[in-house]
Amino acid sequence: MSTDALRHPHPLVRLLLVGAALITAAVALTALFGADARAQDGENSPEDGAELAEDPEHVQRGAELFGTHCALCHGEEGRGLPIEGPRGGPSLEGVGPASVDFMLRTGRMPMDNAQDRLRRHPQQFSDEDRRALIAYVEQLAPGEGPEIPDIDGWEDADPTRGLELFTTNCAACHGPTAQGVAVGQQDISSSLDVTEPIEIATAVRSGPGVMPRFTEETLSEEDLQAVTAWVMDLREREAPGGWSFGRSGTVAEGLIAVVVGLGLLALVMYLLGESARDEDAPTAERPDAGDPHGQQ
Amino acid sequence: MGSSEAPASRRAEEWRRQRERQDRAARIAAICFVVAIVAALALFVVYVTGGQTQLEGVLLAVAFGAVGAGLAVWVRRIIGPREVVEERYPMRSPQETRDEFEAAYHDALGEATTTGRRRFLLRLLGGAGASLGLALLVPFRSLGPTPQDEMFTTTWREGVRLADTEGREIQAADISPDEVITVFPADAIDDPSAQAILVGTREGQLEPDALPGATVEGMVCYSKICTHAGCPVGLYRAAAGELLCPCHQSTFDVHRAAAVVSGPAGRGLPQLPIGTDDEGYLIALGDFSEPVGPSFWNLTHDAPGT
Amino acid sequence: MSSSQKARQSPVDDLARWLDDRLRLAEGGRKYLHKAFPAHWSFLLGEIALFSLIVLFATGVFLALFYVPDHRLVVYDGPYVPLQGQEISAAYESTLRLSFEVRAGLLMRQIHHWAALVFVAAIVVHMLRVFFTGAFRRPRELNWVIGLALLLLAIVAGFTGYSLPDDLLSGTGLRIGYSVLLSVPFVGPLLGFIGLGGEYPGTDTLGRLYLMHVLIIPAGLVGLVTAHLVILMRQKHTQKPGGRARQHNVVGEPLFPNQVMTSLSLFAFTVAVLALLGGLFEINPLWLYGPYEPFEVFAPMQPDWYMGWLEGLMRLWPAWEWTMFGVTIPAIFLPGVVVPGVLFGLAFAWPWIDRRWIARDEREHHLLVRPRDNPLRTGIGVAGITFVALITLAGSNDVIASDLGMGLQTLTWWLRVLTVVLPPLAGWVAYRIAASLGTGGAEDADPASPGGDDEGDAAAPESLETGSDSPAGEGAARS
Repeated sequence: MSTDALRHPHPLVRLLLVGAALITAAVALTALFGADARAQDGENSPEDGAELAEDPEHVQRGAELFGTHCALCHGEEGRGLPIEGPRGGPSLEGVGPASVDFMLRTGRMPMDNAQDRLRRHPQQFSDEDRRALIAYVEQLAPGEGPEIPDIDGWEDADPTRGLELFTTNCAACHGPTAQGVAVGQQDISSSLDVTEPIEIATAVRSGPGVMPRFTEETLSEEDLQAVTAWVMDLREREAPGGWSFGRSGTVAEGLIAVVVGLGLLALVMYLLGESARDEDAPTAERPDAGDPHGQQ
Repeated sequence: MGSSEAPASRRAEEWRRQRERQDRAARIAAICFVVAIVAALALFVVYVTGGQTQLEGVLLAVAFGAVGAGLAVWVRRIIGPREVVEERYPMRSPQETRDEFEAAYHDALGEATTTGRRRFLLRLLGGAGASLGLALLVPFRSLGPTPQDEMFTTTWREGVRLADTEGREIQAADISPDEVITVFPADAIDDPSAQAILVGTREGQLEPDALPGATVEGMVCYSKICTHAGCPVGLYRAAAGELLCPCHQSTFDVHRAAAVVSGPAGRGLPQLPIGTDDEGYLIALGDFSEPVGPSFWNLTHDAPGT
Repeated sequence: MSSSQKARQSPVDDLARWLDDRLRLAEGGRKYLHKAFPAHWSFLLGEIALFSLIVLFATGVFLALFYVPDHRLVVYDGPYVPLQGQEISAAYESTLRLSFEVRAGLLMRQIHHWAALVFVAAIVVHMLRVFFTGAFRRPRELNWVIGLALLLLAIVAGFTGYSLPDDLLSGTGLRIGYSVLLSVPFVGPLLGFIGLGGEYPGTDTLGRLYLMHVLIIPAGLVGLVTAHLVILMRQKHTQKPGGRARQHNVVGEPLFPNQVMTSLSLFAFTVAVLALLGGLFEINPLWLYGPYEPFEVFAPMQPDWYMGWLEGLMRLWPAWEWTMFGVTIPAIFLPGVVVPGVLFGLAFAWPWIDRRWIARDEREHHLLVRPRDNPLRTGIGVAGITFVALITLAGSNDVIASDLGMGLQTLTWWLRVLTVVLPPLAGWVAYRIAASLGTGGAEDADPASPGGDDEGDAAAPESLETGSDSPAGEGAARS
């Protein structure tokens, strides 16, 4: 049964709900006024790439890091190099802060080998270094690529709307349960099980790998927050039907039906059908009668 | 029978031990049935107090499983295996019986008809039956209309604006490279056969010579219905410029008239010619370049209406 | 233990007497008490299918009390938060209500779905048992054909069933089914329009599927199962050779009490396993898939397992679409219509193919063979299994590709090669193994009744009645 079924709450529950709502409001207000302070530490807060790019300190640090970690494939000036063997990569002009942030945050970059599939690894840079690299790449072609979107407040976004948008725009590749699947010869759409909210947002805006992009014209900030809310909601959502075996769908269902279902029944059948081999089965005959079962 | 040579005391001892085993089995069966009763009652309680899917399933399984186990112990350990032998006969009736039946049948038939007319009458009866069968099939025809133009045309026509799934009309400037969006005629949102996919490509990627219809600034529009089995071609591999149908993995090259790159589809996606109107909104310049959707035998590859 | 001959006074006995007073049951019923059921565990496979069907009927009636076969849109206001406020079809809404609001509804739905999967699986394995042991041979060709018809009906029942909830997964499956219908030569579009009441997605689709699913197909299933069982009773069971088993007898456990109790036990266990699956394993969580919209789709998208072979054929089949003389042969015509037709056609014709070319034997058979006794049949069977298994795998090629980290097209290409190469190879290997194990001439040694010739009847006992009432039919302890 769904835990959502709280449409007609008991008066006491309602009182509690009102209390909870008041506390939530208070927390939200504090968060709102404390937002400035939070932006300074900036763990998951938006970072304005354009501003960063104008900060010479960041750009300088970024240039150093770029030379060490990125230039081998993307070229000295980030203009790209043809892919030959393990080296080479696309130009980074105009990819935008969202793309750099996504690639670095999810450890997809730097790669060991240009021939590898883009995949998630632990992040290799500190937040500060990541910002420096964003600044450096951004100043190559300022303002052309997508900015890091502001998704603060996604927790309050409407997952219902998110589900609708997710089904229309995302499920075709990532699947209804965001498990990911092969979407071409080289590419597997990512499972969104461990993705951070900000990563969802930067991916949507920048379109990493073969993923298409979604700009604000087609998917507003509010829509983006809703999608984020649904993906996070989906992850936490319990399976009312029982064990969902990783939400891997019909294929796993078929396997379970045959292996567990028919397998258990085959075992029962075997035990039931082979009664002749049962050592404890009564086969001895009544000493005073020829036939223990014959009644006549 | 078999063990009659054994000493009587040994047989009596065997018999006694077997009775003990049977008593033990009876106790196990009894426990099984008690478990079933308890589980069934617990199921009742769970249900009455609001229900819980997992608990219900397990209790139902325990109740039935215990009955099954009890019966199994009963039949195997208490009753024990028995063997009966039945005689079997060839399925075919003995020739005599067959002959008798045939004779009786023909006699009966002969009484009802004379030989000469019988064949004639039988044929007429057969004809009547067939005609009647045909006549009775006719009502099935009422189940659906005859396909007319639906298979060849859609609601797209010249001048109608493109709108997204929520009915918002689309400006040319709204779509960036590597972006993809599902569109409908602004006056027929959600019309299944009109569904189309609008793709933004990067400068120079489109090959206009390969395209049958008009595009706008790197934007190109195709039918979203796969020409293979009709699933929506919803999966866009932006970096490769490929639309892929998740049902059977037909892959279409967006840059070259959505021609089939791989997979089982037999023809490319029909293109929707697009342009812009005075206010900068995207509009269709006509219907698709070909009939949309999976192919059928009397499909023509001409543009609708020609 | 009872050994009394005096009339006892339990209500059951009273009822039995009351019935016999009116229906003269004891006379014919007497022999059924000791009807022989050959005991081998694999003979119970068919019973699992039968019991799954009973579970399907029972749970299905419950579901039908809540399901609404209606396309009309309603605004969802049930307890499942993520869909609240969305416009969904009344059908989808009723399925959600059944899952979240009806007490034990989700359990019933899940048991029903699991039972459907197990039902078809049991039929298939039962069929394989019948195939490899030669149980389809004369005089049992009819029951082979009926069994296959049951398999077909079961598949159609499953398809119409999982198409009902009107979620995104079910709707897309239906779309593919409609497209296959369209590919029928020339009348395809007409068939499609007649089937759905108009152009896809149609206005009457769900109502018609529902009628098929709850009335027409179950009626067919009941009719054919009845015929299957009546013919089985008439022809008596096949049995493994050995012990006292002969071509002209049936050796086994008596119907009462042994077989009745064994079957009841198996029935209880079948319900138990299906209840366990239904309670503990989530199946078809359609609230996650969202309502069906003709322009939406997701990946990976697979049908239920028993449709996987068809899905796989369509994924593997090369893009062959020909246009000649102004006629287009649609790409899905061959894999969607012709190949399945040929496969089932061959399976239906198998008893006659077997007697003409494989066993070259038209006699009646009541003793089973081992797979090794007829290497050619075994080889062909193994080749068939391999082929169907491969195309079933191909139906989930995208899932396999991501699990193996293999290129999707590479995998598809390999599967194409394998479906051509592996079945003959596997068949040949099976043939060699079977042949090397040696038959001991079992198939020929098995003294078949010469059913074809008239003189064979002379060897048969006089009548059925004497046989069953003869002392041999009495219970006798195994010693």
